[in-house]
Amino acid sequence: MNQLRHLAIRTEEPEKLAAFYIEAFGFREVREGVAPAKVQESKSFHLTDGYFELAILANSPNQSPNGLYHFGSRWTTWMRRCAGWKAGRSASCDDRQIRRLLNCGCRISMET
Amino acid sequence: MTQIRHLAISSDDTEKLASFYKEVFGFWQSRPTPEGRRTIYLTDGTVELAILENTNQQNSNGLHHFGLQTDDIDATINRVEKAQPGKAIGKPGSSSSKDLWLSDPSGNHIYLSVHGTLEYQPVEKYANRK
Repeated sequence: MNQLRHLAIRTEEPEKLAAFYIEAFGFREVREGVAPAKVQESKSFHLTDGYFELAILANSPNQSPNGLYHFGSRWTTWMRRCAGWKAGRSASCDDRQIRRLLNCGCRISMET
Repeated sequence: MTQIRHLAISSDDTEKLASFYKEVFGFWQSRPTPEGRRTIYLTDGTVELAILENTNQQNSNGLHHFGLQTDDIDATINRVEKAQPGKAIGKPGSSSSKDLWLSDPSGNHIYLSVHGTLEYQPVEKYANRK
């Protein structure tokens, strides 16, 4: 079963945006991290409403536009479904292929 | 209590995208497509994924907004206004109107609702699906 459990937002002001979601909506912080880019002073925040995670990612180097960035799904049988969906086209199914199939260009992160 | 219960994606081919999410992820239709529209509403059982028609390219394709369900919309509005001083937000128009649009400090669009988006009558075919 696949469940929507994650939404990520890019912003140049992650601390300010995280504070907004905590104060306005009562989200709580579950972990914080350092952006994978070289800019070590930029922190990312991972908040939750108890079920759904909201990741607020630092975008200081402007790797991509600010705003809604990707969403995440928790999955168990995704690869089997994916293979079935692509039957007759390709035996393999990687993230790039999925992105091409999504003509909206949405990024989806997957976790078990 | 406020929870994320809705994501919306704009697409210029809603049927193709809905097929993808149904076949690959196992999502199912949460409510009928409004007459004359191409928007398709899917769900994983808890969160709704709306695939919005973008036929005329009025927006960019991609993630468009997300929705929050709250049990106290007035208290939530007060906290939003307190967190964003000087930025007034629209309040529900009447006692029966329990939803509104607002933006976070970065300009992301949020649909705030008391009832959420999954309390519509489900399509009969899927009503008992778990």
